[in-house]
Amino acid sequence: MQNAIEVKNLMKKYKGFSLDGVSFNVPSGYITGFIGQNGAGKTTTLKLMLNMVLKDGGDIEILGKSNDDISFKEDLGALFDQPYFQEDWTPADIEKALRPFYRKWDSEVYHSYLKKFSLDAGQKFKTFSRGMKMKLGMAAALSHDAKLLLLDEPTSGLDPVMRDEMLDILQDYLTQENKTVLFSTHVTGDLEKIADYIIYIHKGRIVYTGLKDELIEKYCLIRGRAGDLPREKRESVIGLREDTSSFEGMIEVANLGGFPSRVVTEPVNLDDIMIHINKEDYKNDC
Amino acid sequence: MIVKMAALDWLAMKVYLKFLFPMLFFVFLGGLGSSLIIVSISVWLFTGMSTYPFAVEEKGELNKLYLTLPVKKRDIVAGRYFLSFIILIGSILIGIGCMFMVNNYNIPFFTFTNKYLLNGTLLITVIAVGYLLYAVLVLCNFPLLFTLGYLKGKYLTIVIQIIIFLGGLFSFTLLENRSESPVEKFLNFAAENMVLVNGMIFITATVILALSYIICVKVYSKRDF
Repeated sequence: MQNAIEVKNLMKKYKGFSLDGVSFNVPSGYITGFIGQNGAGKTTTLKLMLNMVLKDGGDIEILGKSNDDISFKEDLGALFDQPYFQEDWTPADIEKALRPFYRKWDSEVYHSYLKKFSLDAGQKFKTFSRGMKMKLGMAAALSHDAKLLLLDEPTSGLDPVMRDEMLDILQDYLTQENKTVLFSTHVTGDLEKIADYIIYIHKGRIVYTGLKDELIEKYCLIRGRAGDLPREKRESVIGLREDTSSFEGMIEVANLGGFPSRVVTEPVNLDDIMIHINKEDYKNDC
Repeated sequence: MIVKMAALDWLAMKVYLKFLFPMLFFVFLGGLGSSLIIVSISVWLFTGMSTYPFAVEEKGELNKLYLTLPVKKRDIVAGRYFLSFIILIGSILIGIGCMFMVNNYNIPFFTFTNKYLLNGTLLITVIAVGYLLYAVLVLCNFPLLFTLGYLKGKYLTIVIQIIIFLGGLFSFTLLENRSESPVEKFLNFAAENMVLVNGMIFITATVILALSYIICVKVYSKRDF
């Protein structure tokens, strides 16, 4: 399997925060979700890929080229939490602005997306709703035959209907051959629907990288009475919360042996994993 | 790529193009004292216009848009210099047009303006001085704006521009009011040694521009967005 993105030992130091040896791959032809709570380092990592921020160390390869070679951006569509267009630009202006930079810009495709998304080519950007702005950003990102989409929180702040439409757009895009999406978000519900792979970053370090289903199957929620938690098992419960009568937390399925059969287990979702790992981390910090 | 970047900057600053007509008015107004300074006033005002992309880039996060495009940071800087140079040419042409009108027609309010016989030598000197002024203004503005951005850098650049403007105006008025005008003496000297004087001005201005460009490329390529 080829990788659209390879990140090795990426370092970036800020006051009070650092990306510490971040390494991961994004396989070609799939949607990879990049998850982590706010401030975990998702946006910084994406900005490092685009050279918006300068790295202190490490290597980034995108579509087989070092990210220092800006030619990879010909095949890249990038969309952050809001498209970076001028407020008084119209969709027609946006095409005028972007077309000269992409050899494969296709006006017909752009206008077909405008039509599909019901966007008026003469309407000013500032008058669009947030959802419409994101759709316009997607139209621009998809109109030069991009092989890779880098999306940073594209669905945050959108209503459920608009979020669903955005996910449909991504799934349509993935039906074309050899297209890849890296989708950074803290709204993990979106990724449960569409992601194949997950990269989980926590406090500037990669916690997990691999198949989404494997991650979800790796853990389960566990709860029971206070006396049902053996002393030797306490350490294996992630984000343990207990009171005098009961306990609950998350545990690796491989560590389930040794509990009484009356404890209750439930499957986890991505939110559960993030919440419990964060709780565990907080507990350790204390 | 540089031309494309300049065109993108121009498109980004289109919201500010409404200031063109007021600026033309001020160019004329600048000629009340002497028609000789009209070109310099025009250059001063319009070079200020070439900082508009810095203003819109922070408001609309234009830098981030640029950095998603297949463009080198060096080309972003070069594009902005190229656009400012085009604006310079426009400002010189506008200034010469206004100067010609003030010199050759009896426009009300300009009756007492010091007028000069416009000839090729005079025009070349006026253009050379305008070019030098542009280079100094760019040196004062662009490295600061590329380093700090518009929000943080604008007040510093405004102060510097006002100092240059008032200093220039004050010196010019002082020189013009003397019985034997050094400006005229300089113009006569420039006319006699046209290649030497104007050549030196052009070379100095070009060196200043090149220096400021190198500084801008260095600071911009190290900036995080």
